[in-house]
Amino acid sequence: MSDRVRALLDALALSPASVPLRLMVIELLLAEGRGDEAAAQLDEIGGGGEPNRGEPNAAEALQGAKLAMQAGRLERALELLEAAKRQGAVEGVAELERSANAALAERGVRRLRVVRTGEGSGPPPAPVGERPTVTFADVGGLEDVKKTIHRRIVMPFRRPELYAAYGRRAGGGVLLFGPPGCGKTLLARATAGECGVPFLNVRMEEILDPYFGQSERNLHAAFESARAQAPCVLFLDELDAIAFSRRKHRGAAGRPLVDQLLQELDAIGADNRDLLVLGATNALWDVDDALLRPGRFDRLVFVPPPDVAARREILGILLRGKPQAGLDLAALAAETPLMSGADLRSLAERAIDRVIEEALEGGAEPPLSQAHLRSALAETRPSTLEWLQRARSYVEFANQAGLYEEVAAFLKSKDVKAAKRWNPPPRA
Amino acid sequence: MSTDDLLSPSLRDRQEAEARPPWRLSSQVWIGLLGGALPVTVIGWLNAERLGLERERRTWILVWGAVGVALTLLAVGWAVVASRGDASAQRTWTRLASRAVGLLTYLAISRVQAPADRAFRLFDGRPYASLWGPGTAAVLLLGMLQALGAMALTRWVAQ
Amino acid sequence: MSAGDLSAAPLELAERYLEIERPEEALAALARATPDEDPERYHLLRAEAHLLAERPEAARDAAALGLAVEPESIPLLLVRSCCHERLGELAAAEESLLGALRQLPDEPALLCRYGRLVARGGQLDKARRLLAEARRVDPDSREAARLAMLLDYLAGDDRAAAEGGRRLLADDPEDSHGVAMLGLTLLERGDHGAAREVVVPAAALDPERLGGLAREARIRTHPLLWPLWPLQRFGSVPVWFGAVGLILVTGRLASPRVSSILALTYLAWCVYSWVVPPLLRRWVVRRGR
Repeated sequence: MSDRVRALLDALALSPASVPLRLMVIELLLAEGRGDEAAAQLDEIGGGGEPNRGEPNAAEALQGAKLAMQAGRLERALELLEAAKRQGAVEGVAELERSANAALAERGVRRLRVVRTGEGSGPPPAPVGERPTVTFADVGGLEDVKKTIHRRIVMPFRRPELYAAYGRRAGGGVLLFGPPGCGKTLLARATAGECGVPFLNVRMEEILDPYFGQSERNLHAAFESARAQAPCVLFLDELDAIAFSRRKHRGAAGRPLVDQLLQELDAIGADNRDLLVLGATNALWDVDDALLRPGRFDRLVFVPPPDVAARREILGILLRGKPQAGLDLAALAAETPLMSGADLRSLAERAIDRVIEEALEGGAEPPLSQAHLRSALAETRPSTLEWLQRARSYVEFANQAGLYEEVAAFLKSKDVKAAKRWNPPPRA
Repeated sequence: MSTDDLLSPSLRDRQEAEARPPWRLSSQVWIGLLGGALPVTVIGWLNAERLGLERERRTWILVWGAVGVALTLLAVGWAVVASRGDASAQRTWTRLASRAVGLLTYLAISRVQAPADRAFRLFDGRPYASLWGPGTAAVLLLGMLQALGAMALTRWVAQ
Repeated sequence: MSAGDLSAAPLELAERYLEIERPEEALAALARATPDEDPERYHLLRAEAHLLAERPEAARDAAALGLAVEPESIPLLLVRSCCHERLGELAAAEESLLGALRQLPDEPALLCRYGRLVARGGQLDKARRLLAEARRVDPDSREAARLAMLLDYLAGDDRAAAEGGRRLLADDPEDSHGVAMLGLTLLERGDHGAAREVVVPAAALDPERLGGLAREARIRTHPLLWPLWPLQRFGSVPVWFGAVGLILVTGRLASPRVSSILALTYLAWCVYSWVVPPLLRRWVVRRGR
């Protein structure tokens, strides 16, 4: 045992409740190959109120879980992971859980999953939905949105007993809305990934059918398929196309589909237990009012354009691996308020086009520079501007029920103020 | 009622509205106030072209404008007589008379343009053109012309 | 399934998409269709999709292609007329509309549509005659009531226009078009409080169409503009005459000092009327609520 570890153990003896100190000791013990001693220290973390055993916060519990994985203490890792999730940890949780479960599976141990009582011993139905590999860690920025989704949607799936004690069930309807290209679909997949359940993506083209009654049958089939695989996330993208406001319908052919969706959400003649219906729309104002009443899509989550940190991350991903010199992505991120991921991709493509042109004309292969990006920026405008312009009217006049409160708050944000230089396109 | 006549095309002969948007009707009051009957008539005539008014209605603008200029000269003449040689009073009443008639001329001319102006606001969607440049030019040049005419009249009446 | 059935499905699908205001999806569905099976419907749906996507030139061209095959098609003639009107080509719009009217000369909706078009072109007399003809055929026609209100508004008869608007809304309180026309009329009359009462609640249901008008009604009823009530109610010219008259009379009957004070007060009030409304408008728009 090294002097350093010995010194830390002495210090720990004086302050047994210090979790950070204990984690440091465990790390050093593992580095020295003292797995058993490290495992013993892991057992000392969190003591249910005992004065000599400190309670870890979310980050500490997550760190402890990682160390437990390294030490091969998988059950302890999962216990600490649960503690981290209870305290609101989001980043890295699903990844760690996947690793722990994979490790358990390798050992032939059954996965620790909520098992529905009363099920037969037969094999589960072959899933039609995909198992998403995306989690919140794969979604740049949007920390507030991820936290909201984690609290209101993911936790009820993970801690059903806690929520059931207060009369809440997992599942229900959640609607993500916001400007196009800002990651609603990705967030929906990540939510399913965080919940660890199958993800059924139902597109508008799969539902809408020209023949009488067929659209309604398609929708019912999608719900039945999801119910068969519950717990499951059923994702209805472009919800406004399926649930277009009956008041605004130009004809009568599409109204029965809205009625069908209402029936499915109300679980008339069916069981929606553990079924989370996620919807996404660019046009909340076009969604039929009845869909937004309690028991249906009664949880609305506004997904704004990426903030400056997210834009910095997205630019980093887009430009990774390209020959570059002197790029200041933080500065560029600050100069691109309200740009969606798609807008940033367009910006990067234009800048690269300029570099390629230079290469073809000059013969050399110049690296991508800040000047190229600035030049491309002059020709790129956020595609979210028109959405925000429309949303402004709804915030001002149609917000009596508070549907657009988050949008109203966003309209006062720094990004919106900074984007004033892009005047909205003139209306025809 | 025969609809043959009613269902004959009539917009073919209409003067198509020019590409340039018209000037705001309420802004033309300044031309009347500061310049008088002549400038507000010319501005009204040009605006009628921008609004695509028919020839007949544009003629009414000229008619009201002519009445306005005539009234201005009459009012100035009266002001000279009424002020009885008092130069200060003469200036005051002359200016007041010119402005009053200018405003009345504006009222008459704006009524001719009003339906087309409302149609522009309702259907067109473009913003009004700025009247600063043409308005200032009209007030200075045409206002001066009108003032010279009034001055000549003043001298003649005073003799 | 026959080839005819296969091509019919994309047309139905396109109609479904247009019903929910998805023009691009409708055009994508039509791209899979065979125009020859039902050329009128095909080109009509294409034109309607382009019109919905705010591409009136493309819509006009699509309608023209359809009319080349079916020159007497009333729906195509009407769509082409609508495209021309959107582009400000009133004479061309009239030509298409008359093509439809010659086939249905007693159709009140078409007569009123033509009346609206000629009114837009400044021909109020002809528009009134068309209105009378529409009412002769159908005295209770809602389109005729709308046209009557429009003509009263354009002619400056705001009292009659407001009465017409109230009658329209009594039948259908959610008629956005009726609310917009009534709101405009009330604002023109200087009845700003009434305009606000009508337009602002209706804007909750249709903020995109009525938001601008509702905002204007809010601005005009703002307490900071209360001092400008005479200007809004009577207009600038009568107010000028009234003020100047008062100043002159006071100068004669009272004293030059009182007259000067009144003159300065009027000047200050004029400056207030130039400065405050634009600033207030900018502030209200920026605040957004």
